[in-house]
Amino acid sequence: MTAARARRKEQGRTPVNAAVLGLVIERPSYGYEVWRRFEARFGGVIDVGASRIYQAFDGLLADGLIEPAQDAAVSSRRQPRPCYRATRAHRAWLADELRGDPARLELNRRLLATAADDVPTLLEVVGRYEQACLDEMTELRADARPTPGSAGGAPEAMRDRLLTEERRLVLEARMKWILFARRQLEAVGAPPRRQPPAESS
Amino acid sequence: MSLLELTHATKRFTSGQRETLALQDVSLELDPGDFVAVYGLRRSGRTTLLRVVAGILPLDEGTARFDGRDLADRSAGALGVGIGYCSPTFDPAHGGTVTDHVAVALLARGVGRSRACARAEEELARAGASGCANLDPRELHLDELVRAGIARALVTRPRLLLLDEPTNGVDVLQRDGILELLRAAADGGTAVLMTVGEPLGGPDRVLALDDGRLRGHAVQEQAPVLPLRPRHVEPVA
Repeated sequence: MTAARARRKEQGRTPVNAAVLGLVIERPSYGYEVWRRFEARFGGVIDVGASRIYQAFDGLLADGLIEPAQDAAVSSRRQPRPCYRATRAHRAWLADELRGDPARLELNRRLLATAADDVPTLLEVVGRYEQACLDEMTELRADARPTPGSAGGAPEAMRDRLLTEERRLVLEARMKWILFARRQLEAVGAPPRRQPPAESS
Repeated sequence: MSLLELTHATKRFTSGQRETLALQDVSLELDPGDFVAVYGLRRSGRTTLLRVVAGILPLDEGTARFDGRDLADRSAGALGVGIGYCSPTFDPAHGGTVTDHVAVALLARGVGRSRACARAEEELARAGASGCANLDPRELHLDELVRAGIARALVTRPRLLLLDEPTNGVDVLQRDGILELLRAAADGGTAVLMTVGEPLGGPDRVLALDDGRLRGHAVQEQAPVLPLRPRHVEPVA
């Protein structure tokens, strides 16, 4: 992958693009209809105008994640409205998104490297990271509960359960890393063991 | 004053010349309706913590108080009265059926057999284990054993419920049901303290225990406030 293409791919990974792709995966749609569903689903969390939806379409088209759905084209009396559907490539994209963001990991690695010699600071960073993970565990609760009024096997409940389990397992790995990191740092930061005085000859 | 107050608790075990610090300067507070999980790997001190809170193990330093009483005072006898300890092991000497096992704590308190069995069956139904009532505990699946163990611990209406890794080995599809059961107990006013070896959703607070040191919001930092959700506390029988 060329650097320019990789950069463009990074730029395309915006929450709006991801949300629009999700709505198109849900069902083939045209711009206005996607905007209405976007507002209903994400309103208050991400607020965008209709023009941003068309920008997202352009980005997703360029990345080959959606394509015009000829057989499902919607036409009005005035002009045809292009209708889009997800391509098979969206599956790889979704898996890529779930895998994590390599750029963020690299950023974290470099941030940690800046304080590599300052053990007390790193221990504090690890402690704060641990507290954030502990807090996140308490947030798993709402997602783990079945949606009121829906059967346990409803698609929404199933999706919630899958995502919650993924978050839970990520947290498990992070907690084990925190344990490892603290022990490593404490071993480095501990005062050296006092050696018995050498016998004078 | 909190329902449970563990203050600067330290517990040592000595084996030969080797001394192990199982708990190091641990402080912890729980109020009625709290649902708290302590996450820790093996040998982190998590079981020692529960056994100290249950009043089974005395502390070397610090204090453990339940409902204002020092747990070091053996005459207080909190375990089985105000504190319920959930275990998935069932001693065959206590009876043949799951109902017998759940009822035994009531029988020991002088409750009549028919009333004790009726209460046991109610508690099993509340725990989602009514289908196990007439089975031998040895016939139960692990998640059913945990549910029956919770029913046995709650039948005396304790104010504090202790559980050591209640979801360990339980099928992932059964796990959330057990956590919901514990959440319901907390919403009913019982303080719930459990240890876990894996992150789990459900508790209000999650603490981390490593090498006998407890981390996280072990002690409530803010002033006590009225809970947002109403809590119904059933009278102690």
